[in-house]
Amino acid sequence: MTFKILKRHKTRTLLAVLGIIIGVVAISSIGIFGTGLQLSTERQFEDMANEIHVTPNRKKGYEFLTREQNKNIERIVSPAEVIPIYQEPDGKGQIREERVRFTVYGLKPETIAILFEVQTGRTLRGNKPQCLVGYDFADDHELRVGSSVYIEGKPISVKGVLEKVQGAAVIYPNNALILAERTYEDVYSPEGYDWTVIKADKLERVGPLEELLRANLNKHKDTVSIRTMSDIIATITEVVGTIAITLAAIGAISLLVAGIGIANVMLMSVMEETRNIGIMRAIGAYPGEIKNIFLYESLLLGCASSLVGTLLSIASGYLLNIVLLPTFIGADSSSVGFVSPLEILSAPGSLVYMGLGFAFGIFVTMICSLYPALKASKVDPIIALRAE
Amino acid sequence: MGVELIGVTKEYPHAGGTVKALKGIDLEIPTGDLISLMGPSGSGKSTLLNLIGCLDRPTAGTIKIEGVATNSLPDVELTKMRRNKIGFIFQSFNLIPYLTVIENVELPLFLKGVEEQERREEASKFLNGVGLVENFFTHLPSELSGGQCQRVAIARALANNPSIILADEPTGNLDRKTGDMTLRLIKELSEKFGKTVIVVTHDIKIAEYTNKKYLLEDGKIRD
Repeated sequence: MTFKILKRHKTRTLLAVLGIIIGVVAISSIGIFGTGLQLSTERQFEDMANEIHVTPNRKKGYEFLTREQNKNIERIVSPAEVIPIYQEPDGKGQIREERVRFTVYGLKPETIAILFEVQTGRTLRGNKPQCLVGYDFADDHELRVGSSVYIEGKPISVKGVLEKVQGAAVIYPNNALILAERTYEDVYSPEGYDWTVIKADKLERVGPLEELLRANLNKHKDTVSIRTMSDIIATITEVVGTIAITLAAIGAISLLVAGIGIANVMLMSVMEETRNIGIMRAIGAYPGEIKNIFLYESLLLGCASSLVGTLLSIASGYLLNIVLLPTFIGADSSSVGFVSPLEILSAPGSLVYMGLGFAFGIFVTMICSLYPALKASKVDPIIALRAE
Repeated sequence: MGVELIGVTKEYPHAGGTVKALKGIDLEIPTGDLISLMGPSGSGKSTLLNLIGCLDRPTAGTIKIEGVATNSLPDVELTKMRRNKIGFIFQSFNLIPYLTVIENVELPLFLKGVEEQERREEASKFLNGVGLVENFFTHLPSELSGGQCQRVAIARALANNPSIILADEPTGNLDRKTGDMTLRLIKELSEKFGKTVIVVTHDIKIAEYTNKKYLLEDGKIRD
């Protein structure tokens, strides 16, 4: 009987179903995309999970890490690797006739060799006035090995162009210049390091090292801020998760709107079926049975639409991850930390969102059909039979 | 006794007052009898039929169907009475337009929870009984003539094996010849299955088919 009612109003049924499908696709595919973002972010930073970042506590007015502090850090965390970093985010210079601004990093030569791959030329040795340039910077300004860059009026020769860095890294050199530590000091005469990265030799040492650093460096005053990479990853993951939930909630609103459409369709159905309801009541249908016919109709609608919506969301979630993930986090299939769309689709988070979308689709359909179904059950058979 | 009415009154509220559709009806219809209720338009025929058919309750008085007083039954029990004891034949057939012929006849059995196979067999039996062969079973009501639709309606009214069949102007939408055939069929089935049949009509010629005629005038029965 219910199938017959649905078949009778094909176009109307189809339009109502479409609304639910769109809502379910919105919730599920946004959730899948959010899961992909979280997984990719975690994967990207996986290699950095053993890092501790020490920065001067700028809130308390400390602008630099002193050499003494760095020596202290080396002593505390030994044998972990310590990478002190100079950074000038707003370096002024000149390339040929053009005045340019760029980021400049100053690192120990041995650290440079570990952190970066040189595409052309060679890495820096000693403390000559030489630099390495990032891939995109070299490309934008047509720099190659042997080119000259003036930094703060001092001529610096390009010794090498770096490979393009994709994904998470301690330093992002693509649009920057790298100087050996002494060269940087000659150019900028810094008072101290801008931050220090510690790479623990074992992952399980990260926590204890963090505690030791806090106890020693901030013994009397909070001169430094200490964050582990896992803190940073957790923060990023939380933010990404919140964004995904917010977007999914917007998807849920669209589903509620579709539910109102369902209620409207069902009410129209009840009105059109008034006479038939009267006939059924006359021949012995209980009000509850009339109500159940309409609820069953909406259950079928809800299940069918939610199922189609969930299947479509697998496709749309797949597409979203292929198209948008590289844009959001710069990770494509060749990057370290790339998570395949199949992995994302089968991740627990994605399955939860698909399940939620499916269940919410049915729930909204049923809830919005409750009033029309109750209205149908209350139809007076005498009045209904008189209706033409 | 098939149907018994004792002092049945029905009033409706209207424009601050009340309208008395039925004024103290007393009536006894023996089991298996075929009677007609005649009267002009507005005489209360349909109201009386609705009360006997447990679609409505009297304002006062008692209605008994096979000895059971229905006026005091709760709604659930009234529905049960209609489901098990009463069959309706309407003037405008009142078939469900998107159910096939056989599905329309199966409907009362579906509501009673009869299994599909048994439903199909019973429905086929009643359709054959009213002269409709299997070719018609998958037709929709819109594909049938008026007479054929009324036959389906009669088959449906019989499907739940009721004790009482209420026919409200069963030939009202049929031509004379088809109407005569329909009444003959109703009479034949009443005698064959021993059903109490109450036919409401304004047409004396229709009433001639019944064993007893009652005239309803201004809410009262006149023999």
